[in-house]
Amino acid sequence: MRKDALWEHSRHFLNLRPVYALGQWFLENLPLPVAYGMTWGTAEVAYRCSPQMRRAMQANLGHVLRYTQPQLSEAEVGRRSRSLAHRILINRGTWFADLSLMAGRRELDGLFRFDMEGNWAALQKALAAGRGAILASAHLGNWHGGGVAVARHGIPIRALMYRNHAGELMDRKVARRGNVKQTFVDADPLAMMELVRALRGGEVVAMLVDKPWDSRSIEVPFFGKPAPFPLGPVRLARLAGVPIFPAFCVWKRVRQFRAVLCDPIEVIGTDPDAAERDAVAKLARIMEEFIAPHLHLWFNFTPVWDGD
Amino acid sequence: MTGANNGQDGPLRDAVKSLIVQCARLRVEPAAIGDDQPLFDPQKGLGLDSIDVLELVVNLERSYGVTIQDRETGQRVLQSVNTIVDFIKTGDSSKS
Repeated sequence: MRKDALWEHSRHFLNLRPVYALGQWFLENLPLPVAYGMTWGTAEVAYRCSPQMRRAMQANLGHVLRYTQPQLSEAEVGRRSRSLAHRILINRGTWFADLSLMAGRRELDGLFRFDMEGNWAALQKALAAGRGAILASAHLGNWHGGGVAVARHGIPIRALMYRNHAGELMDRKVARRGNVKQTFVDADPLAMMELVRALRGGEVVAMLVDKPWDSRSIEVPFFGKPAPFPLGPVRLARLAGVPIFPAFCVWKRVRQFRAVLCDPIEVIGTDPDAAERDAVAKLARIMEEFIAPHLHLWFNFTPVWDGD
Repeated sequence: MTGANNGQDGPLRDAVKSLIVQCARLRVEPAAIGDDQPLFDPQKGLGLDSIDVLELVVNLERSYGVTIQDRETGQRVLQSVNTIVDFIKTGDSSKS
């Protein structure tokens, strides 16, 4: 991994520690409707002042819409992409507000609700057998909330993190408060050892796999066109002998979420490279299933497909 | 000079080099790897990354029954072929 890859990527005029601290102060001290309203206003400014981000989102959204709804005209794809990109930024503001609350001092019981859906029994079974597991998620909905929800159920969980300009500070607070351990990987080649150790110790390791940054990747079909997915999660699963559970935490309504755990993917086979490729392809297909109906929650500001 | 620089360790050192080439899918002959060549440095060394390390650590365990428990041990052991060979021989890289 190139040193500071995400650090550079996360450079944005709002992604600064004082901005985060101020936002968190407002959310901490103002009545929630006022604080959420201010967040909405800030998100609107962010949308208008971030042309590069808008272009990347619209390119991604346009690609998905053309693939999932081929009957749409180009004009309609363009209109929906612009509208969705705007909605995503506004939802990102709500995401920020939710995260600030989770990082702050407000009582969270009763404020947030996570409905656990899907195959949690399979995860419990894997843990009971002394195996750890990997939760592979996307920048969809409130992934931090998903980690907190898992920890609330007594499951030992660790999140794989990268440093970035401001969000990292809030991530640390949320993790500390939610009893989620963190491992920062960045450019330390030995960081993976901490993850192997955690998995062997029966922990669940959560990571986001829909942005490969500049780590080593495998290209698999994603919404009909090859897209890079990180190699690390499947290699880690294969070598540590643990399953990968695709997991998503999507919004139902304000501060209410569905924490969905999909069936596990095992990275096994006589040909390790083929097993990894198979697992990534399966993961990509499940990502498609979750992202397509939740495009308004897909916070992916990086172009996914070359040439779009 | 490490304790691994001993003629008797030649076969073990060669095997470790082969393992590194295999784990990191390097396009070099094992014999081309220097005994003290750094594993991570992309300029002077082999430029291994976190995924290569993962594969190497697990395969050292499978092949030689040695466990690198944590980052600190990893930092000491995974410096070069010689430090790995020392660790395999003694199970303790602090003597390197």
